[in-house]
Amino acid sequence: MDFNSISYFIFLPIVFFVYWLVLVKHRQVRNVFILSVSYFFYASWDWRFLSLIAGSTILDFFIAKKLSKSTLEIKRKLLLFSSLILNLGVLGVFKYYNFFASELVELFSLMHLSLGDLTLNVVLPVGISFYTFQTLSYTIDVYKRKLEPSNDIVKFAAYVGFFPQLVAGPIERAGTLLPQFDKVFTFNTNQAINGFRLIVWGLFKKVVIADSLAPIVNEIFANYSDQTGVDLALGAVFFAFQIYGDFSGYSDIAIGSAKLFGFELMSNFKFPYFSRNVGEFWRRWHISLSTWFRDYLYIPLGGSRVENWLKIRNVFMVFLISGLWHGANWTFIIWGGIHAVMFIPSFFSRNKQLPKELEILSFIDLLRVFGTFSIVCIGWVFFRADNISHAISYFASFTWSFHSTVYLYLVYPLILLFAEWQIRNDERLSEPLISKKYEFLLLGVLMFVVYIFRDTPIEFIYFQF
Amino acid sequence: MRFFLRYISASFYVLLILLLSWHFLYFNFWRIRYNFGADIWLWGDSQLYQALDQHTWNEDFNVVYAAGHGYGFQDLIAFTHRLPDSAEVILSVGPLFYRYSQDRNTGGLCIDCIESLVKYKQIVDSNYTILSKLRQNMVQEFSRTALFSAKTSVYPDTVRLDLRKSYIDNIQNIIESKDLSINFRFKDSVLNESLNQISNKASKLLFLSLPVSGQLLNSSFTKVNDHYMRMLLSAKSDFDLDYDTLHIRVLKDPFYDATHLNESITKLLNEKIKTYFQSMSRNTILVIDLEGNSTE
Repeated sequence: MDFNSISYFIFLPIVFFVYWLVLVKHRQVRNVFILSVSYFFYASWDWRFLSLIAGSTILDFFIAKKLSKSTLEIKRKLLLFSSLILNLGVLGVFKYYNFFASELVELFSLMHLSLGDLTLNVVLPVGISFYTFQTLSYTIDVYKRKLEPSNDIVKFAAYVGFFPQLVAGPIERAGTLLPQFDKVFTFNTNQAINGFRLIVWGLFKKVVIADSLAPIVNEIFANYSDQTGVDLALGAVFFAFQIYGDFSGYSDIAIGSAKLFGFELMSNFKFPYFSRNVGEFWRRWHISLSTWFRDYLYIPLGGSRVENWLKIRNVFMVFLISGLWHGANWTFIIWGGIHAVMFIPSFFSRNKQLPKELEILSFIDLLRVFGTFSIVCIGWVFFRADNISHAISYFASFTWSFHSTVYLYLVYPLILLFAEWQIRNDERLSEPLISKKYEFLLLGVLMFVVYIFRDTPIEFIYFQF
Repeated sequence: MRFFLRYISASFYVLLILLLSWHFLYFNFWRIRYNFGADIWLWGDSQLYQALDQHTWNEDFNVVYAAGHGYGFQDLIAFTHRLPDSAEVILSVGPLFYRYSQDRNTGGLCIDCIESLVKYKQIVDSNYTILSKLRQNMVQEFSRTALFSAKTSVYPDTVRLDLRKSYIDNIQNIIESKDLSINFRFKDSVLNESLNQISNKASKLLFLSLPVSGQLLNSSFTKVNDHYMRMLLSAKSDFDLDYDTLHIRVLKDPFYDATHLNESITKLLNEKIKTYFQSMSRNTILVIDLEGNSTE
């Protein structure tokens, strides 16, 4: 049940009305209901993998309780490691086993030793990387005594499986989302309208922008040797906007759907293509993942309070693992490596906070935005390529030819950039897009455009991660 | 809550008004006018789709290519109603037109066709989900060569005997379990009305009859094929059409499965039909006869 499917738009209103008209005042029953519909939502992909979420939930619920009670440091460490090993073990088997097994076979074949076929016929469960990181953050926070463990397994399971963010984030922290399951909500009209606005805008980004660019990107990447230089460059640009429209569209729908039920999820994107350096890009792109790595990997490694070479090592570790998080392929690791290299200069700059207001004040700023976007696009070529040789061949096929057959498709990125510039300081769309009185007209028009563009639904890219 | 529901409803009203306006204006006026300048209007089901490669035809002509897998009677009615006057038409109706219940219907909402569809009591059949068909129609029907659709639609030269056998088994089951006469009468009347529309509008008509595999003709499908041949003869006299046969000698099995031609033969066929169409002076039924199309 994708967010861009008809079935979701039957599911969502039914859940909405039952939630607000029947259950909302009974907190415990409401949480059972949220858990049930979330599991139903997940089972609509593959019910067999429900056991993985349930298993991970039960495991971390009880480990966290034990962690909290225990005062013996060695026991606490053992409990934490058992959670890490079991959660990452499951993730490893499903996501990385085949990659490492085939690399091992390849390595031995170089030494003329045959290991046979070690790969397994396994399917990657949807959203496993997201909910695994979510439960891990809970256990680690309890271990660090930043968080009291939950005593209510239904509430905790609802937090892990909350359907708007279950399959592709945002990766929520227990500290912010879990307490919301204790609240008894009253219907907030402004919040609900805000949610509806975000859902419509997210659908527009996914269906109109990302899905329109997808076939062009597929064609350019599949037949890169037949393309002119400018079309290859446009292929990378189009993919940049495809993946942004796709993933930020998903996040908007997720945040919007949660708002309809009174919940607030964290922002996942803040107009990343207006960034002036790669450091800023990572404070605007997939924020829930980058802050996760910051808090649970970078800082435990010593963060910025170590010598410079250790700082650089930490940055590389974070980006390479972040690349690997996206998938078991060297292309993702190279992608992470490129970002690590380009992140270093901004890392040593003094100003690491996002400006309060996004403005491009000068021509130099504009050049920096363009330069950052170009670097990001180079990374996207690796991200999108099937393997490293594909990416290298893609770059090698560049010729100084300015003839383009696909330039008209630039209209999609331009529409998105124009629209995002108008709302550049309000990524959660908390204010009406136009005058409050007439906004329903604009939303109706946007839904109509989505309808026109909606052909065969294309799955969200981040579901594969 | 009440204000929120009113707000959402207002947005959906806007959506509904736009959708209805779009369908009415787009399909029935603008989209058709956009195609008024086309050289050839071409309609057919999967047999034609696999046989006449739209990209090859678009190289020489400005073609409205309304053919695809499962195109059925609703699509034919919509197509004929939307034809502009003096259009040049290639129509491919083969024996598969008498398929029992698998007409795909991507014709969408054709305002002019409603009367005909109601007449045939088929406007809402079990497979007809109005909204999705309308949407499909908007995106697909009459679509021109897309920017990157250079890949041909033709099937390769391999022979898929498994597909052929399963198709024949399936169609035999249907033929043996259904009352064919009702379907024959119904489809005949649709075809008559469509030919009537075309003959009133078109300046040139090539009615193309593409072959099916010998194995299929040797099954109980022959009952359908016999009726189809009778229909051709009656159309010849009712609409004053010439009747011609194009013989093509084939050395090996020209069919990919039971009903669709493969790459080698379609290359040849495209050229021959182009030449024939350009040279013909009267509306004609052209039967393609593949000599050597024997049962394997």
